[in-house]
Amino acid sequence: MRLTANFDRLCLMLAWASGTIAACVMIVTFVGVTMRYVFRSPLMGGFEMIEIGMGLMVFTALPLMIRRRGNISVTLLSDRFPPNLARVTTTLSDLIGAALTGFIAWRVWLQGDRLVTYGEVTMELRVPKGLIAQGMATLLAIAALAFLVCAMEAIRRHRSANEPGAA
Amino acid sequence: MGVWEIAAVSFGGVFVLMMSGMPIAFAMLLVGLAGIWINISERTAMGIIGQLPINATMSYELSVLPMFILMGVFVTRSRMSEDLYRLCHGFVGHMRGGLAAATILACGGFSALSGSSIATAATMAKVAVPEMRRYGYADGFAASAVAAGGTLGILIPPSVILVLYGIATGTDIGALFLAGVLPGLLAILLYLAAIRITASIDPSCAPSAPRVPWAERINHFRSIGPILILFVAIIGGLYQGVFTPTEAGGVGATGALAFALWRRALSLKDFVASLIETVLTTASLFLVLIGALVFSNFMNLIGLPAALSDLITSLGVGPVAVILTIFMVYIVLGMFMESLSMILLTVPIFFPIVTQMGFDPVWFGIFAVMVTELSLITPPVGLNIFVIKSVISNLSVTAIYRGILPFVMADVVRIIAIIALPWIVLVLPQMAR
Amino acid sequence: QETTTIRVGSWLPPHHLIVSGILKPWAEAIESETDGSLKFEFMTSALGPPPAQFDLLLDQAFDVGYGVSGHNAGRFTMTQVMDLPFMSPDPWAGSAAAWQTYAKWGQEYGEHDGVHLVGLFVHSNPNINMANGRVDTLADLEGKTIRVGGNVTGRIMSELGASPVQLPPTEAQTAMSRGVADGITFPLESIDFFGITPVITSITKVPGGLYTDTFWIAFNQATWDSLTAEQQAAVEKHSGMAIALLAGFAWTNGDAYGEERLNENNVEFITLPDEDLAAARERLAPLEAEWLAQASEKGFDGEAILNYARSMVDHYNTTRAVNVAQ
Ligand code: NA
Ligand code: NA
Repeated sequence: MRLTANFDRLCLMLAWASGTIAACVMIVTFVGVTMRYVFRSPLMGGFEMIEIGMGLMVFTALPLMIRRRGNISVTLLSDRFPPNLARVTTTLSDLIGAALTGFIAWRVWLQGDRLVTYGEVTMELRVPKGLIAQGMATLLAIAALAFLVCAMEAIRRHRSANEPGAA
Repeated sequence: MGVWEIAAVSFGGVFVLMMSGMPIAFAMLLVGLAGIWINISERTAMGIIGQLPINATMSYELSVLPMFILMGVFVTRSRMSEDLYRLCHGFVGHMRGGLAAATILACGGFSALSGSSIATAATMAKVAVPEMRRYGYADGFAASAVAAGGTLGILIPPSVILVLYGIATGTDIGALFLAGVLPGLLAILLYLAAIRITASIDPSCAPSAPRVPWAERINHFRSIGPILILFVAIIGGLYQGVFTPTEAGGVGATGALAFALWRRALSLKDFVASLIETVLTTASLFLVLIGALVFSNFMNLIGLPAALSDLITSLGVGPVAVILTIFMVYIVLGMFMESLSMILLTVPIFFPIVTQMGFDPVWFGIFAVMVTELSLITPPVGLNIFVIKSVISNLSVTAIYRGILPFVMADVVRIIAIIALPWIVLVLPQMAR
Repeated sequence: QETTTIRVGSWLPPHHLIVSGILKPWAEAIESETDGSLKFEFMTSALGPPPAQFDLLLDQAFDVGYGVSGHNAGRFTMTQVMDLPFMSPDPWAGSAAAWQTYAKWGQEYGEHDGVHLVGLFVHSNPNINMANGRVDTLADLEGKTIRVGGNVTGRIMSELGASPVQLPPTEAQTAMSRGVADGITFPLESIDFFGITPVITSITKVPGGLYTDTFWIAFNQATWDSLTAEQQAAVEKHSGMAIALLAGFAWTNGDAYGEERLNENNVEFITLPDEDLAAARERLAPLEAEWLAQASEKGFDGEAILNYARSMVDHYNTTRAVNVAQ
């Protein structure tokens, strides 16, 4: 499906962004230590760049992680389920994942609203915290979509497997 | 319902959802959130779930997780695990059970650069199991050695579990890392002893390999040298105070990157793939962290830690009895639970009690890691064994669980040793003060 | 008689002086004032990091919470008037002035909507505690790495010539004992509490109070509204200035204890000379100007608030001479 392929491309692009942030966190840390020794002065705002970077790194990687079914789970029993039951539980768990992630996205967005109202900013770089939170909420909404796409795929596979004449 | 009933139902709920194959993070999230909603209030549940994802991820200290993961990925991609194994093989391979011993030693070395047990087990399995098969080792014994050696990943610093423990309890992460060194060496010794004894009882499971000439042994040192330098630089830097534990992550990842480039083992494509692999692992870890925090907030809100501590006070039991009881609880939990969530769920409950009874927070951190190590290899849910099975073809899980017994016993001996002789854990961090 | 249980959200260990010396005595006074109709229950572990405490209180995760205003930059700017350099010369004067200033202007700030604020207090004077080198004059700070807890202290340290390093509390002790930082800004009490005493060699006191933090204690609004008039009156009787008083005692006693321990370790105490103090005041003046600008941006007469706060500090200053014949 075109739509799924395009969505997966979006997930991959977000994961690239996340990887770039990871590289930046590494560089900022290394440069911070080096500057303290070589120039006897710290990297201003380094602490906060890492804090903000961490928040964004996790949520930009989330959609691709979900699409690749990278969630940590115990598959001991579910591996032995009969195929039909396994499909039902997988689809169900994907739908619950979508609902929960969507719900969290909504609540994080509202918390972002609250932070915007109070004008809370990060200490040094004075980045509005509410905007960071709403960025996270948006990424969480994409993650919820990723679960939905997973569920759709599981259902589609189920249908094609049950269709007469399907290979 | 009282505190105990709510706790029992909730833990049971998480367990059932987990076993049905639902991602662990969502099992904990769902039960935790519903629990707060029902037992405290809708408003509190809605509020906590809005704040927690922001607070849990925007953390300077937690940046050490992706950095140590990245370091491990770089080291793995530079294929140093093979050299490391050859080196150990060269020195001990000809002894009785020598290849298994070499596996343990190589796992120990790899652990010094990787913070994860699963990564250690998966990486070393690919190198060590085929080699042991070649010399006629029993499958179960070979895979068990890797599974046990892999657990060293979280005991020998750096360690993802120690970082999370340190942040959850406010314990000095540098001290925790230093505290892991001697127990890590003790673990290696005990595993070697377990191999020796097993190989004497049943020599057919572990034939010896031919002697490797000295020139070749020395040769391997050369290719592995830089990795030794990196480990010594990180631990030495922590000990000497050149950088903080959080900074050690970024410095270590940069060092590993330099090492991989020096070995010409990292193309641009590999570099990007390493970053993606790192952030995907990071995202799945943080999701578990968020789920566990929601659940432990729920336990906190219903007052489980206080109830438990009241119970212990009313029973009037001593510290050793308490720690042995906790050990039993962990053995049972560890059979079924995934290691990370086990620590994240139980430490907030047990920590106030054990520190109140006078146990050192650093000591309890190492204790918690050791029981986690045990959980990684005990049936029916032994994560390391699943991981090894997923990277090696034609392995029977039953055979591995039969082979794992000597290593489980070595772990139990080690845990009892640190209960009896806490200085094994505490001497290094105290010297660094 | 019915008992109302008030859950107190706590993020500090129970033996920290804020819990044992301020919150617990405050709670006990109210419990006995109400003949046990109010009962306070302290949570044993934190529900979230310190900056999350206010929002957790808003969401009624607990009934009473406390926190540091400066942990939420931009949110409690007006309340933080006492955080400015050389505002709080001692914990009594600083706490009393924080509360009195809030009592006069706080309702207009709107910074604590959704909670019922019952107290504000500050910590005692921070000193410059050195593990490597000593600070006799400001010039000695040049090139020294000083661990700071937040950006304002970091700013102060770099204005004074030092190179600040911001580290989480879990790493402060390691940083000091292993030489990542040469020194640390902390009150005497905290040096001992965080186990840093053994590595400290000299301590430079800065008379007048280099900076401080304004702590808040508050009820969730819904919880507060659910209390009876009598219960509310009992709480108020032991709050406000009574909390400022408790804070003054707690920090002063904590400092005395810490100083004793430091003396046992033969730590040398230095006082920053007057000319250096004057230079420091001058170099830190921009912080005050910035606060005034922020105040006027929010539509407040910053000058008037600051002057009132200063007059309250003078009024409650513990060094006031009272036994003079005139
Ligand atoms: Na390790
Ligand atoms: Na297990």
